[in-house]
Amino acid sequence: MSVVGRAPRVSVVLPVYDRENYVGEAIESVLAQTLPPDELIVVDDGSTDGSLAVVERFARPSMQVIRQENAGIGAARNRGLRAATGDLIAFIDSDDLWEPDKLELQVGALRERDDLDLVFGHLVEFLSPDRADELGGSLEVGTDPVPGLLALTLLVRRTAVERIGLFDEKLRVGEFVDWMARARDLGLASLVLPQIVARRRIHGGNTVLIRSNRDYLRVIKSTLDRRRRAANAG
Amino acid sequence: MEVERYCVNEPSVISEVIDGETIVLNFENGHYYSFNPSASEIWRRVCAGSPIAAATEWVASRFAVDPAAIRPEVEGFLRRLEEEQLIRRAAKAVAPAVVTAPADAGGPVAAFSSPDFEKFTDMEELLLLDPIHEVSDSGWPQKSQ
Repeated sequence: MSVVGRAPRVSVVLPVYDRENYVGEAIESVLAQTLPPDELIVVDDGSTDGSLAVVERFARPSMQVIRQENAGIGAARNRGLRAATGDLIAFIDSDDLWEPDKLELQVGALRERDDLDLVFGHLVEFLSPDRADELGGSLEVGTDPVPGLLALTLLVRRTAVERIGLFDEKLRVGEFVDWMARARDLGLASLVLPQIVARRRIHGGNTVLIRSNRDYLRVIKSTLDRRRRAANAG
Repeated sequence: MEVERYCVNEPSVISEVIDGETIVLNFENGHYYSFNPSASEIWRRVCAGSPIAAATEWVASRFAVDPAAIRPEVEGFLRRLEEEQLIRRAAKAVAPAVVTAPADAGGPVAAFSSPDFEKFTDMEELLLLDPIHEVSDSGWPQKSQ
């Protein structure tokens, strides 16, 4: 038990690209935390819609807005990571929602257990109300809680991030799979809390197109190569 | 009934040869595979829609071995791939597959060893969750490349 001592500072990184309809709700779910973060870093990845204007409506001292040319989610998260000053770091995507006690539960878990590097939680999905009529019958929405191994559900120690490194900016999808595989290969300890900590918005998109994306195969190949190098070196 | 040909279990299964290694991923269960050289050659022919006989001929020519001698191994390997749900039986009535003699084969690529794969399940829960987010037309596009 190490709950005594200074409360850790928590940074939240929220990348956004063209999500004017959803980013406001994502920010509200961060601001409504029962244990509010010490800083919220919004990285606008070159949005061409009104996302930035929505973000700026929430301006406050604890919020920092960084603008960059569109470079992809990995690069946007990295930009936020570089700016983050907290001892603990969380991510939220601009279309998703946190449960109000997400940070409180996860900060509590990390304060209780020094051996833990990453803490996740359970996840449910919801069909975005604005697309419900259009997509209701065509998309599978997971309303049962599942272990959420995603950036959205993570709270990680800065010291762990320093060991794992940044997200691979070349990957268009699968960047979190790659990052998490690196974390595991380092032997970092993670825990999935039984509670639901986040809700993922399902709002369409072309799943088949995403699934055909070859970046996943590249993530797998680089993971296999890394493990083989480690095995040969060891 | 004897199976004449298989096809890749699309769209759940994707594959690519990266730096000479055939990597296959099944999104239905998050399992992924690395194929050895003879398995890669068989996979290549399945992807091309070749009947089993033609695939066997191809592999035999790639490794300079007798097709009759390796046919049982090729068939056995295809059954394993089917069990793993990486391939499925293709209807006979499909458009004739392009069955070419291995014109680009050059010489034997390597000494023949039985077709085999390594199977990995360690990233199952990561891979199963990840692909839902869209990146196509309304979010996180990259600059044109």
